[in-house]
Amino acid sequence: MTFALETIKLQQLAAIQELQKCNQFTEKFGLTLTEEQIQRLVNERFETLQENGRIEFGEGVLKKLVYAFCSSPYLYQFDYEDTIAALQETFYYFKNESDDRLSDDELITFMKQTFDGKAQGSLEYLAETSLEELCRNARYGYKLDEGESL
Amino acid sequence: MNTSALFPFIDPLVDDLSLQDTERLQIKLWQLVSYQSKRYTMGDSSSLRIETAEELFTSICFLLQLYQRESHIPWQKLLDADFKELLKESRSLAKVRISQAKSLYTRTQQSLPKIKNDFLEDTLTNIGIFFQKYDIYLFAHQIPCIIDYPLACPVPETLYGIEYILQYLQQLLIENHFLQCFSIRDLNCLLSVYIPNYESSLINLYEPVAINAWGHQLLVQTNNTLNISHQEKGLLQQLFQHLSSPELHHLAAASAKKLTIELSLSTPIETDYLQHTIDSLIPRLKVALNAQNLNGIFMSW
Repeated sequence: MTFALETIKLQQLAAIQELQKCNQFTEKFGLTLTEEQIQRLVNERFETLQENGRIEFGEGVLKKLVYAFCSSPYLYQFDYEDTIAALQETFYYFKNESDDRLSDDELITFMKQTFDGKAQGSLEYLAETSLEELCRNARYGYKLDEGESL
Repeated sequence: MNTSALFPFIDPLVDDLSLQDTERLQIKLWQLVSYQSKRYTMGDSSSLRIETAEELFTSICFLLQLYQRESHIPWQKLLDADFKELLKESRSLAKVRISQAKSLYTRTQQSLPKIKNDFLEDTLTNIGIFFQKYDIYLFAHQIPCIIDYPLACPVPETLYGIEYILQYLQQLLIENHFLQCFSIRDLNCLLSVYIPNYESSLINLYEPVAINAWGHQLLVQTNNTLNISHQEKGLLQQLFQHLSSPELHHLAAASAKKLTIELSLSTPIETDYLQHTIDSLIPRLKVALNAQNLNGIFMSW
């Protein structure tokens, strides 16, 4: 379907341009993405969306994730791309798990706080412990005790 | 990302559109879905579930089709329009429909027959809730209420949202008006024979009454009762048994018209509804005639 392919291409182009701009900010934290890495991250965005049965019409969350996590003491240049990719996958998965009750900013804020705090840079801890609990509480309408998020 | 998941709904819209125009339509619809998804998420989320996007898309298609049907403007011309404005116009049209439906709802409540049926009452209550829950802005195609009470002629499943409710109420009003033509005693006796505990049974009240009234009309009885005796069933058996299906349908059409005139219900829509109800009976009638047993068709008490 020509229209669908054109739409995807336009979205990919926009996402690539956004990530290129991010480098200007993140380089002061010693983090930059190459063109190939940006392309891979953008491709993975669409694959992850499809795997999670979601659709995006705008620019996506990659930019927000990069800006949120670039200041993390647990993010290093050698695994920058892989960590952002994993965070993106975790993000979309838990948007579903929370029944979309959490806004993008709420979820990213929680992820960053936990990643830097209790999880101490562990993506497994973030995904398998704290986010599971957060989303369970979101589904049942409970508020997570703020003290527990750090 | 598989965007083609969103586009099966376009098919009803694209009659006689060229490939280029179809793509223009897709782009405009895509932009509208994007706009609606921002309204749905209130800007809090960059993504949403595909199922939700499909619902938003179906709602857009429902409203635009409503507008196109009412305006009679061909799709080729509509493509030049601002689709956000079109969507606004469509909603205005849908609001008119809501107004019509509310008026019909009031009339339907007032025309309820004096006999009781729990499913009829619950369904009417639920339709009242529909007007509170109906979301014309995001999910105009949905019917956010439970409609249990079955009509004699089901509302086509090609209708959605407020159009479904409007059609349902129109048909229910027709049925109520018909039932009001008969005494409570007769209705009670007939329905009690039709099914014990009819008050709490999931049945349509109109159909068995219409069938007995039809049988009564064919017998040219002047007494004002719905009852058809066993002897009268014998007469009906003789009347029907040598008629072919087309002849029975023709008889249904002629007698439906006479019956509605006798009952002072002679609007074409009421006559058509009665005829349609009787037409649906004919296959069952044929089987009963072959078995020489009309007890399941016409009620006696």
